[in-house]
Amino acid sequence: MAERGLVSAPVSAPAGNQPRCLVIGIGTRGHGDDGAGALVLDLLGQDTDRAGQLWRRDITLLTHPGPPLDLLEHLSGVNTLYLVDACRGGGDAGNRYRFDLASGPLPARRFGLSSHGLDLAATLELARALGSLPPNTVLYAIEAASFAPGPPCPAVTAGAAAVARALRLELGVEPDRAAPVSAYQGR
Amino acid sequence: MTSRTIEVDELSRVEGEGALRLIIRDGAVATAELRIIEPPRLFEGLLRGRAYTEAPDITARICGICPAAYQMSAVHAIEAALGIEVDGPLRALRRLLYCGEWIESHALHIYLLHAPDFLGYDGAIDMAQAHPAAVRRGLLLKQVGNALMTLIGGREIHPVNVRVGGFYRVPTRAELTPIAERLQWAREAAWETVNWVAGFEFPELARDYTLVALRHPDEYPMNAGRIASNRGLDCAVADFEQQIEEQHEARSTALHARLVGPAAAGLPAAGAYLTGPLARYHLNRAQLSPLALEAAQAAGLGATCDNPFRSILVRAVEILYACDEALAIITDYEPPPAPALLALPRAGTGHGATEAPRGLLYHRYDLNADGSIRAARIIPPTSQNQASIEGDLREFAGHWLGLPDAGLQQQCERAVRNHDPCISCATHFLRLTVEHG
Repeated sequence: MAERGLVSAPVSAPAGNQPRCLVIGIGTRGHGDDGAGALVLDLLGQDTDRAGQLWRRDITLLTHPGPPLDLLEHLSGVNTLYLVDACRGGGDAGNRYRFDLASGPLPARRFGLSSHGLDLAATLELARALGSLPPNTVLYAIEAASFAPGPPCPAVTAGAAAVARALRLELGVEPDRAAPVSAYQGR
Repeated sequence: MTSRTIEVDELSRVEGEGALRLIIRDGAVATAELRIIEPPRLFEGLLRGRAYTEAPDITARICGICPAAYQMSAVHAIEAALGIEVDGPLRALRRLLYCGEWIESHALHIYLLHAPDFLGYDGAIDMAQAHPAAVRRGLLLKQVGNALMTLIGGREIHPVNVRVGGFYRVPTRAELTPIAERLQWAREAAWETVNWVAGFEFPELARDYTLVALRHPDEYPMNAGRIASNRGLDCAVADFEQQIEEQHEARSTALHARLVGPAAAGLPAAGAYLTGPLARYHLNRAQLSPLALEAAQAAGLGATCDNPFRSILVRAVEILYACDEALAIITDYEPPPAPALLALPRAGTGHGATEAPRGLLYHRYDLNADGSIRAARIIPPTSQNQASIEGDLREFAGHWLGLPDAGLQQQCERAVRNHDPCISCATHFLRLTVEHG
């Protein structure tokens, strides 16, 4: 019944103390452009080999429709974390941004709409304060236009496809098909 | 005449969008207003015409932090209208779901929203750098509550497994075993939480509240009991609307509830009353588990608590109680023969009241013969608490008038956060009457 869960075939646990890589799509399917994160995970989940395994055994894909604060439950033992979420930053729908959390906190005003507990920016800073933020943490944000019921709009769907391609590049898959996604330069 | 106005345009560390306005004239607080500025939510209107079976899922969407409370008040009210009573293991499972909600909601409020006020931090992030072990404990406690919600309700936010008559699916005994192990840890952590918050320094404030909560002869109330007060109110849930009146105040999209009629005779503060942990504790202290009662006593809580700043202590005691209660329910649990009772539609009116983490939550539904909802009324705890919160501000702010504006603002926000208000829950559709001349 829970919406949260692996979106691809289960990936084998990494052997020994091998660092884990976690990719989390934040947001809720069916809530318009809020489903952008889940859509990216769906696209990545298609990249399985004939045995049904993801391209790399140390990568886990997870969708997270719950509050940002509950992301902290998943960070134990994670070395590399990629987050994908919808955002409202004033740009055109489908625009993509890449934030490297190693270089500092997120621009909070972009992610301040969470109603219960802490928003995403505050949650990641709480993780940093607790020493729980993975050393390699990157957020891909996709500019959203509408959260009305239904699938993401065409522009956000295209943006999700571009982010999936960029993630494949970062994760070491299909480098020749990657599309450029600009690093966020601040506004 | 000297005049000073403090405006807080956006309250932090509360749920929803609220604001404060404080006017000081000649060295005294002349006006203290909690302004709820969240747009109306229209839920009572949305329910009209929908099937009675939809109410638990629709009302769960009112709140992301206390959705089970909305589901519980809805199913109790509708079952009353249908003439059925859920008992035995199904009733126990509903109580178990409620335990999960109390644990996760109280842990969130204590550790991330309220404790920074007492320890001198702007928020949880600053506090986590100096108190990482405590914050981790709070987060883990919240995770246990979330896990319990997921196990019984299907997911921790907006559960999907609650239905009129019971549940869509009930757990096996084996499925409850792992959560029992986590609850054993949570019980210890809750005890440490009580000790931790008992060491805080509490501002002096004694309020003469009229405290209103469910009261039950056999259990600390979550989803059953009569509605009682510390000043003689004792009525069936079905009679609650005769005891209160909701009024629109121009400053708020949430209706203000006040006691009226016989229940209000001789009351101070024009019928203002308070629901929530302080009221539950005062009216039901004897029903706490032995360990929770021991923790309360060790923390210095007596038979009553009239200082709203010490509500954090009562919440900590209630987490401990919820862990105890959840473990007791799991120990005794035998799966019911069916996940739900048969709930056939019929015309009628039903009333339900349960104890959301932040206070009494009342629902009424008028059903048509086909089970469609003709009318709905929802009175959330924050609506009921608004007048008392403003009373707190009037009394408390008077002690801090010597502070510069920023310091006074900070103290006023603390006074509001004492009650863990859920502003999104409280916003209502306001009736609009157009008169044509």
